[in-house]
Amino acid sequence: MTALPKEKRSSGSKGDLVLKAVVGAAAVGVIAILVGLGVELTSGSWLSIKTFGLGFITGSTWNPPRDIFNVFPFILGTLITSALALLFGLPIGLGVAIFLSERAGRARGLGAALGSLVELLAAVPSVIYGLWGLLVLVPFMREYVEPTLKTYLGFTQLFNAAPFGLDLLTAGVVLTIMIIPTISAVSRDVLNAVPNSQREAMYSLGATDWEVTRKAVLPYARSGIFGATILGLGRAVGETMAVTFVVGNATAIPTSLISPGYTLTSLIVNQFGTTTDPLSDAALVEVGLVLFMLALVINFFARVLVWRMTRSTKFRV
Amino acid sequence: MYPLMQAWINTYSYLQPNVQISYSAVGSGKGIAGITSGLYTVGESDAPLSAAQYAKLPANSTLLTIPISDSGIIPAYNLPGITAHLNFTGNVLAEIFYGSITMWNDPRIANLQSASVAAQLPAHAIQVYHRSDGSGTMYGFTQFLSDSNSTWKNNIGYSTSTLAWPVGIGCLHNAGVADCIATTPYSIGPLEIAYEIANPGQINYGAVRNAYGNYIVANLTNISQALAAGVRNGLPSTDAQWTGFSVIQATFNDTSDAYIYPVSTFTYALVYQDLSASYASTSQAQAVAALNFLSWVVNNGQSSAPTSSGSTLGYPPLPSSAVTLDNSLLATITYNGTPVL
Repeated sequence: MTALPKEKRSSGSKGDLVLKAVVGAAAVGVIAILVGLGVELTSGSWLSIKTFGLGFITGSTWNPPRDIFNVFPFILGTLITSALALLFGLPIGLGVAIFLSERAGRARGLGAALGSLVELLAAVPSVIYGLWGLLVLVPFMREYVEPTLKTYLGFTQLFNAAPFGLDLLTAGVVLTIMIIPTISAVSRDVLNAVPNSQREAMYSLGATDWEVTRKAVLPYARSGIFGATILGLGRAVGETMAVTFVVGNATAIPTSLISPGYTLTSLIVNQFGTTTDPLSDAALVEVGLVLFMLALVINFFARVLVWRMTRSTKFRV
Repeated sequence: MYPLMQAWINTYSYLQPNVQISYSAVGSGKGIAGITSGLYTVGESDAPLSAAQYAKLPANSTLLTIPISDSGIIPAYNLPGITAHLNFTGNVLAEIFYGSITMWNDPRIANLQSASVAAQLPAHAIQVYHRSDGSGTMYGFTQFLSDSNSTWKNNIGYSTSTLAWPVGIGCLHNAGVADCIATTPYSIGPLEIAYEIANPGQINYGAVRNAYGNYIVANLTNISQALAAGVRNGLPSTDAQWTGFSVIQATFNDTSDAYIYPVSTFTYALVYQDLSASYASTSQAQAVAALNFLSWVVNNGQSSAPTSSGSTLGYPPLPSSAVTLDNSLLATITYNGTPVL
């Protein structure tokens, strides 16, 4: 691409310069906010970093009156609830997206209605999910789902605890419902963007509907779906109020999926405002720093994986 | 405490429309930090300052600790079919919340009950609930547990911030604990009396044994009586440090009054004695307004803080001995050498 000759650029170049400046400032501003956030989190937690060092994330005791702050159980809780949310949410969200983009084409009204309803799920405030979870889902899990799981699957450590409903599994279910709209909305757009030539080619080879979806559409949209998953994971990791109501808030390392747990976000909600000395203040800021770094690490690995996947395929999305 | 302060501010704003009071419900730790830095004219806390917190106050300052309200903490539970108030001692409660007692029909619980109630206790595991956030309610409750049981005192202790509860599930705020207990049969948890009074009959709760030996079912009267006993047993003098003072500890061994409820606490307002000092960051007008409000709270606001609809909020009134003490404390606050009130 050759650069425009200078005479052509001079007309309206002032407007161009202003535009460049404004847009550039916005971009730089966003980066500055991100960097500033990291710097503030680090400086606010410096006392705690100095006191605990790496033991902050590897130790398991959180005891404020004794001034001991370690967050490994909370990191575990965040990872487990988010993993559960992805485990249940990805198939469901992807299923909705496939239905809307591949199947509901023939019944357009149904597709639009279903699509709007799924997106409405995203509009519900997360506190409402928390309240609903506490008052409706928790008794349901406690009385029907978890005893059944314990009876049939209790031989594995995963379901071997007294079921009280307020635990990691219930938090995982609530998070699943919250990330389904994210995954399905983005996946549907990605699937719609797959060119029809791909589908037509498969049909012409004699493939069934499901084979077309599985072998032509999904592989083409793979990296986009992966991006949708990461968005969902990001939402699950950062979800606060909905999780705090139902996760059980127990500071010990959870021994099974149906024992109460604790997440980094719930920790901040519960602790904020009750800290009594600078060390506990700094520890709380460090929890925020850990959460921030966790989000960055997840995003980084996601991008690396997407890059490797698109690099090795013949398709370009 | 927050609904009460909000109700007071609402009522006072009808009486004195020119006075604007802003209130941040941020927890005792921030309340103390705020008054130390001069951010607030009046700080509020569920616990007196610790020695370390007193050390952080500005040099040559005197901070007054003024009791302005009280609360009681009840052991609420959900036992299907049992309507009687179960009897508890502090020691048994400590063992339940520590995890040493795990079944409702444990002999340690059964022995405290009458024969007919003991026979009704189910052979079922106890589900323990507690607050997941820090609060004055938990501070008072765990202080009582610490006084009653040395294992609890040595391993867990008490605090206005969150605690390392050995067993049980944490629910957010009093309302969360109440919801958790209401939806879980065979559960128990500590609750502020205000919640039960505002929602009578929805939660069952037990009686706690006091030093005299009686099992007391908490109500506004016997909590007030406990606080009166606390005042009688001696509060720190006017401008002394209140570190370590607690009504629960002061009345733990008090056998003079047979009907006090042993898990009762004050909440305190914190004000500098010299409001004209630079560290207080207060103008004369602000000082006058603030002290008039506090004086109203202490003298007129104690009739269960009526809301506009006339219903009671469930916070016990200060006993008259505390009101007298508070008035004398408020009278010592000066601005540029002259008393404000």
